[in-house]
Amino acid sequence: MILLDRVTKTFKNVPAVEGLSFEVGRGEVVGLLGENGAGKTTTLRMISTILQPSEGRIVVDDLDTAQRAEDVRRRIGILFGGETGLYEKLTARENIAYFGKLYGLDDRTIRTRTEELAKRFDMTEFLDRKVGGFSKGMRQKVAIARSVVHDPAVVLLDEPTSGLDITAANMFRRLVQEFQAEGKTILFSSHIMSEVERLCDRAVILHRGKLVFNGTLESLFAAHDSRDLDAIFMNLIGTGGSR
Amino acid sequence: MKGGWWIVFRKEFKELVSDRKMWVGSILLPLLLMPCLMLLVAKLQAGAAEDAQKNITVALVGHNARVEQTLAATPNVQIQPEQDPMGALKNGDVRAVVTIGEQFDQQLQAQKPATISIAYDPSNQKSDVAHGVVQGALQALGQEMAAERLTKLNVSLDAVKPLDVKSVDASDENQKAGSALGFIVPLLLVLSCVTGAMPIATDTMAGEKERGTLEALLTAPVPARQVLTGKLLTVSAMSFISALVSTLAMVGTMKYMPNITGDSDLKFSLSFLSAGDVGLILGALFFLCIMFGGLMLGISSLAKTYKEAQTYLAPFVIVAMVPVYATMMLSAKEIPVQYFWLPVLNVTALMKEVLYGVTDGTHVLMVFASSVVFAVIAVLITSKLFRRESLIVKG
Repeated sequence: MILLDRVTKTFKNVPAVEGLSFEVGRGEVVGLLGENGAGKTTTLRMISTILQPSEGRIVVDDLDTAQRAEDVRRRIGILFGGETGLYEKLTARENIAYFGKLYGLDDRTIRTRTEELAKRFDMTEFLDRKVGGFSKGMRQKVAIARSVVHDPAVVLLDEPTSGLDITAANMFRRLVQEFQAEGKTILFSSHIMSEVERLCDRAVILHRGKLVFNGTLESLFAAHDSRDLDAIFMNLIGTGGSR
Repeated sequence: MKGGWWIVFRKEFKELVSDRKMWVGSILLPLLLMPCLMLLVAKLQAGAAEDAQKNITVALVGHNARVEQTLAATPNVQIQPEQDPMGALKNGDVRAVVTIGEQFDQQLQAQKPATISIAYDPSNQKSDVAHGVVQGALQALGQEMAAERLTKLNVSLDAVKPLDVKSVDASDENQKAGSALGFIVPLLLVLSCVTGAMPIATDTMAGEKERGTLEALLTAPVPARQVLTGKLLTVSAMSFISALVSTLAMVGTMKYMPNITGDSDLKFSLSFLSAGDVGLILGALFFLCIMFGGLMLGISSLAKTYKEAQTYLAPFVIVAMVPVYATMMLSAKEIPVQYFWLPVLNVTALMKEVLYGVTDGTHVLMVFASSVVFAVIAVLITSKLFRRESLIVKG
């Protein structure tokens, strides 16, 4: 479903991601791990076609991101964690509807889908209020609804629980499980190891733009003879790691 | 995706309409503040001019009954005794000091020019006006005395006045009004275009970048050029609306404007403009708004934050004002032909011509052709900047 083939991205000759290759199969939930500046966000931005790889290629649902960027975007829903990217002067409903229109949905579908998502994310109460006064948790709910209004096959999540309280973070984790049950392909970046352990089938670990691990969590535990993911992660990035 | 630009434009406009700050900054302020400022300035000027014509206090040094009678009989002139006349002039206690020469009477009797001087302060408007009034009165007295001398010599006054020079005002009322308005209208309209576009360009590009909405927007299946088109239309439309609102405010204000030109027949009104004239001005402004909108969006895209964009865009007002000032003091008939090719200058030059009623077809073509070219160049530059991923994506 998602394929990265020897992908490199440089900014002003400084590599942010170097020779990165991994795959995410249909319906899989894969965690993208790494410290700040490891290249997680750059990788997600390249998959979502906002950035173009300097080298290598990325394929999403058999479509090359360099050649079929718009078609790729139609299949992807992306949520950025730190900033929810919502229009504060618009209501939650207007934010969702705006993106629905940009994704080519008709008004009727947008209405139905908005109501459906509002019930699902428990946001009916504040659906017609301006986003400006929302809490972080409320904003994140609206942002998720906006990201999946077009029912994408692939969901990219960039540190989605960053700054959320326990209730909102738990709601989000339940949601990932629901998406997985619906057969969506999910790639999400995080540095919360317990979250990755609970939700992911596999993990891809980056360190300074390079891949240091790509495999199932069980194989990672077995290779390090430990179930302490924090310690394994520290060990991997401390030693440079092995595949 | 078809119509992506329209979706972006509609959303941007909806956001603007629901933004109280925008209403205040771009619509209400020009509607209220501009007329108030114009009226206040005009009232102050008219009041100052009126005051300068009244209560003209003059100190007199020396004695001559006829001079004293003449000055005392001049309307609004009051002779004020002063111990230190020149000190009083410096302090503004009197507006002029008339000094009658020591040999004045003897010189008169000897049929020679009798010396009389008027001291005034040219840096003081009231003193300057007093100088004119006193000089006029004394010149009239001089002519009266000359006539008396000629009568004694049995010579007619006409004999020493071989020419009767008359000045004829060849301009019509509309041209007078247009010429006077030609100072302020281009300045006001260009300034409104800039101030109307600036906050929107700052917010819709750098502001969206800072809040992360631009990145979210670019993940949607809408080509970047359509996103830019939607934003450009919003900024240009606000620029244009701001200019229109300012014009309406100005037209409304002129009805209540006190006359400060001294020409009692002059009526400040734009009602003499035909629909074609208005169309020409609005058409030229339309392309100017697109050029400003494009450039401002491009500059705003270089900034990482809203505040940074404000800093980058602030000099825009000065840069846009320079060409306006360049044409301000020129008469509509004296504008060099190359001005009709240059950005901003071309539009202000055309506005002056239209207001003065001497619109030249070739100049119109030059202005529209060059305006389209500048608008296209501005949009192309911005489009190139917008495609630079390192500038668009924050971080």
